[in-house]
This record gives sequence, structure tokens and C-alpha cells, in this order.
Amino acid sequence: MSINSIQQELDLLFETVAAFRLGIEGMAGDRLAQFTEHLELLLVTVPPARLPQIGQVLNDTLLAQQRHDYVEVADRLQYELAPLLTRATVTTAET
Amino acid sequence: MECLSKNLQILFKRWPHWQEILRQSPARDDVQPEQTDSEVSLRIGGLLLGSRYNRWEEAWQQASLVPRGSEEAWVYGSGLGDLPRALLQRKSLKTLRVVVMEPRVFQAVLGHFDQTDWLQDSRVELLTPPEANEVHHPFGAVVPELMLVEKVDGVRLRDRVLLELNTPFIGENQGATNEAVREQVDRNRERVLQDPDVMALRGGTPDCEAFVVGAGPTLEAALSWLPKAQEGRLVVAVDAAVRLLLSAGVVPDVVVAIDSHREGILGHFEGFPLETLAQVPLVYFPRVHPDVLEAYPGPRFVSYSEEMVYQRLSVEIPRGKLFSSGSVIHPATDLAVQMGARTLILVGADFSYPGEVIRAGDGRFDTDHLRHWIYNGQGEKVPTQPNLRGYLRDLERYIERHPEVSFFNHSLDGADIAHAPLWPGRAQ
Repeated sequence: MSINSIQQELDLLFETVAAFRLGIEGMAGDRLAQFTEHLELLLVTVPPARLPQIGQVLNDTLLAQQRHDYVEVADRLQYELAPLLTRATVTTAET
Repeated sequence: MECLSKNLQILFKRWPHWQEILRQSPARDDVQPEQTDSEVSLRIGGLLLGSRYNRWEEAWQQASLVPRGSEEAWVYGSGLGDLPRALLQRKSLKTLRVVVMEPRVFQAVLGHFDQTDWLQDSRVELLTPPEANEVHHPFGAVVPELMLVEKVDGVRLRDRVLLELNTPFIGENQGATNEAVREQVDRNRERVLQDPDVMALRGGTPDCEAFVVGAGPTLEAALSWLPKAQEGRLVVAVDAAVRLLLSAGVVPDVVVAIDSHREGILGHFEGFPLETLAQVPLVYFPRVHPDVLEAYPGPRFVSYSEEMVYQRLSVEIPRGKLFSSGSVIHPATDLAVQMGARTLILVGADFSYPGEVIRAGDGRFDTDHLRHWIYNGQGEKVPTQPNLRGYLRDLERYIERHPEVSFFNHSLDGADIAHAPLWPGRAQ
């Protein structure tokens, strides 16, 4: 996956976060669906040891979304998932 | 306790009536502080009220909905106080109207966080529903507090705020599907040219009583008394209600169709002899599939709405407009009013899933996964979807604009529709 694609995926993530914090439910759900659709491509760049943690964050995010806990969703994506993926992009750039 | 008492001192000094509001608002027992290394937030009713990592950044993001330089702004949901604070930092702001959407949430926040800074800012006006019952621009919102609203007036305002927040995205989405709709409108051009204007029906039944019949689940219960009640009254039916009405021996006076889907709409006209409708006018929007219009046996009348997709055609072929905000109930209601209804009874306008049924005549389905809800006429929560909720609130706004008409609801089991009390004639 190219650095540009990774950045686009991260931009989409932060767009998703903003939509959840603002309560734009339709956009938030749509952007989250787009993000997770391409997430698999990003995950192949992640060291395997990190995958369980990412999986747990994604699972907690989904549960929060189901109960309409939108701030929790935004927090999980912005402060827990993004750092895990961002460390992955540094790794990719270095390789 | 010290925090609470300081907050209340300012609150009651500026707004004494809040003593009574809080007296009537029992404390919640589902309030939990949540803390990380960087931040403290509150979880109320299972929902985080503010970010537990960076509340201030979140507040700035929410405040970004209010253009810089605005002299007035509204906030729906005071939350943890961060959004009012963020906006009050703007020197240009002269008035900030903060609508406390849920007093019990506000009370919990007062007990955990110092709110005195923004509460004592002279630019702040503090309101609650129904003092505030409409969405004013520019505004920001603390959506978790909206999700915790319980009171009826708060629920109505909640839905209006959520609808306003989501409207730009809905419009953006409709742009994508509009190409297909635009093609369908173009294909119907000749038919639109030939078919008479819906305005020809205007005033056709002056000062009448009318039933506007939707296909919501409560229509089924109405089928037992509608045949007799129909006598002497106008019946305007949405397309999806026709089959059930005919099965009960009720032939509508007018049918309204606005949906662009072929199979879905054609399906409404199956299962009975079509010639039954040979004398029944169909009022349609040009987005309706040509095959549906071709199949319909009765006279057709064309109408536009305010949608942009009709703009070009309406200049070329002028026709009247009916109110529509996404639900066929809207133009059906407006048609009845324009035809002359001064008493209008909504039947099957449920905007929800009472009895866990989607539509009259359907079986039950599992609604456990549906988190959105509205109140029915009995004061009970019934599951719904965001789009149905939006249609309901837009219908209520329509009703508010027509004080010359008495609106009623035939059932308490579907949506509680503001300004449409239970129809007293139902008991007859």
C-alpha cells in the first residue's frame, strides 16, 4: 500500500471521528463503513503482534456504535486505533 | 457537594425557576466519572458525555459549526459545559442561548464539574424545551445529551436538531442517486406534458373532512371502521395503502405516489382487479417509474415538489407543487388540505414500528437492534429509524403552518404527532 493511500485512509479515519463528535450520524456511519472496507489493506503493513490489540479496539468501537455511544466511538478511533495504525505507517515508510 | 452548591447558587440567582425544574428532576443513578491520564469525563446512561481524552479539542470541533464572527448562536445540550465555554471565548459573540435538553443530565454535571464560569457570563440565556422548541441557526450540539432526552417536548426538539445536523449529508447522498431519478423524470416528460396539473383538484372538496391514509401498522386496526366512516369524507391514500384499503371495501378518492422504485410501487397495485381504480385519480411526482404510470388505470395528475430534480422541467412545463420532505404522507396531507379539508384525520401515519411491524399487512420483525425511538400516543417508546423520525417532525412543522385545519390522529399506538390529538370520531 502506498504512503498516499495510507494517508488517505487516515484522513478518512479523522473525517469519521469528526462526524461522530458532531453527531452527523449518517455521515459517520458511511465514513466508518468506507474506512473499514479499506482497513484490511492497511493492516497487512502492521506487525502481526499488534493485530490482536487492533482487533480489540475495533470490537469495542463496534459495540459503542451499536449503543449510539458516539463520543466513545470517536475516542476509540482517534486515540486508540489511529496511534496503532500511525506507528504502522512509520514502519512502512522505513521499509 | 461544594461544586454543586456553587453551581446552584449562580443558577438560581440568574434563573430562579430552575429551582422548580430541578425539584421535578430526580437524580440519575447511572452517572459515572471516567478518567484517563489526560482528562475526566462523565458516562451517563451508558453514554460518554464528553471525550475522556481531550474535551477541549472536541468542544472546538463542535463549536466549528458556528461561523466565526457570529454575534448570536445556539447550543443544544450544555454537556460538560465545554461547548458553551468554547463559543464564549469569541469576543464577537453577543448572545449565546444554551438549551439544556435534559435537566437530569444537567443536574448530574452540576454535581461533578464547575459550571460557574459560563453560567455567570451575561451573554448566556438558559432555556429548556418547550421554551425552545425549534432549531435556530447557527448552532452547535452536544449529541450525547440529546440521546439521553426523555421528556416529550425535549424528544421533539432532539429529533429536529438531529435532522438539521444530518441534512447536509442527506442532501449530499441524494446527489448521488439523483442522476438515476433525473433520468426517470426525463423519461416521463411526455406524460407530464399530457397529464393535467394537480392544481385542477384544488378546492374540489371545500370545507370537507378527510382521511389521509398511510401504510403504517395501525392501518390494519382502522380497517374495521373505515368503510363506514368513509361516507361523506374525502379519502386520500398513499400508494402503499391501496391494496389493504380495497380489501376492506374502501375505495380511496385519490391515490398519491412519489417513490421512484419500480418493483416496490408496482407491487402495491397487485392482488386486486386494477379496474377498481379506473375512476380514482393518481397524483404523482415525475420521479415515479414510467411503468407504474403506464399500469395505473385511472386518470393521472402531475405535481412537483420543491426538489431541485424538478427545477428544469417545472420551468418548461409548469405544474403545481405539493409539500414533500421525503415521505409520501407529506404530499398526501398537503393534497387533502389543498382540496379543501378543514378536518384531517391521519390514519396509519405511524413513523415507527408499533407492535414490531414495519408496514400494515406485514408480519412482525425483531426490533431489538433498533436504538432510535419516539413516543407513541400512549407515552410509550416505540422503535423507529432516523428517516421516519425526520418525516414525523417535518409533518409536525407542516401542521404548525396550517392552523386553519384541525388535524387528528386515529390511533395512539403509532407516533405521537404534535397538534394532532386522538380523533374523537373513532369511538363512533
